[in-house]
Amino acid sequence: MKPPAEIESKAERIASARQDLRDRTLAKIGVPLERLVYLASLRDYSTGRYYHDGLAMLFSQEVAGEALQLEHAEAFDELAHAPLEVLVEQLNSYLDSLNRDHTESLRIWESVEPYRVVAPLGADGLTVRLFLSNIRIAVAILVLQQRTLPTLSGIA
Amino acid sequence: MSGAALYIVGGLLLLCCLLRIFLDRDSEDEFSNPLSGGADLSNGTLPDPQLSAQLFGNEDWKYVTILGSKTIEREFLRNRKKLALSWVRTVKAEAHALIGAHRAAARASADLNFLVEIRVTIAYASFLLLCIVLNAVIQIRGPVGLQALARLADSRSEQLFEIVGQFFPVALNADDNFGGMLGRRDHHE
Repeated sequence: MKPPAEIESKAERIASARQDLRDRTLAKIGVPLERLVYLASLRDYSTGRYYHDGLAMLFSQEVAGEALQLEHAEAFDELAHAPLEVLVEQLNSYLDSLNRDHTESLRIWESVEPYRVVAPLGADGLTVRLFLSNIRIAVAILVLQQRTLPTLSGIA
Repeated sequence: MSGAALYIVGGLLLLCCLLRIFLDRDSEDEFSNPLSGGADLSNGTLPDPQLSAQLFGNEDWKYVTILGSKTIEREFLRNRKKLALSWVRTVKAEAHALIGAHRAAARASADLNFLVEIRVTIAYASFLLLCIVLNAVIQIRGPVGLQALARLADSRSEQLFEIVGQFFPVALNADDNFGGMLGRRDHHE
């Protein structure tokens, strides 16, 4: 059992690491869905641990890992309860931000379903299922819009 | 003759219902978290209070209908129905765990109050009845627009927690707060 002073200082270090992460990295990522994908990508899928060299150098591997885990959970919570319409807009913005062929990116999201691994560990099971279902519907909506838009512009 | 036909039709309907429930359970993990390693009921995590509002609300459905695609509408309703049925199963499991702890505490109690036991039984029975109704309505017409019924089921569950907690605080402190259930209740108030 660690003494309270040490626990407090660790909590403070984690809070500082989170603030640093927000200021230096996350603030530059405008789309919440993009932030979620980024944070999920910092996690080792076989161990569930988070790695960020810059943050680990400033604080410690342990503190950086916990800060990233908390930020990931918060980013997920923000999106998990977002209305479907908002999720569609965010997915569209995210695919635009990739600087790749939008159609091709959408096809990958439809077939490979990379969104299945963006939920944090320990998130409520039903909330995760709702989020995955919403993202899947959002992908279907964007595919539909992509198919109908050329027709509509042709008519116009 | 007509009596026998009625029994056969009734039996077939029952069989269809059972098959449907069985098939629904088989496919419910389609959207499970690949990293979570288990379904919602087994790992002790409980539904978020905001979840029922979103699952049973109209907002997303209104947006989907505006798009005018029958395929997306069907897919949306199919997914939401599965999730709503899972929600009902989860709140039922939550209450079931509470009643289990209550029974254990009651067995160990020296001064068992008969009236309290009746109150708990009535509250649990009315909650279960509401869950059966909600389950049936979801099966028949889907979860969209059922916020009032879902809220009622949730409030009955809360009522059950209150009654049990009032008389058997020991039961509520057992088993690590039922994996956070009490935390959820506190948050809900």
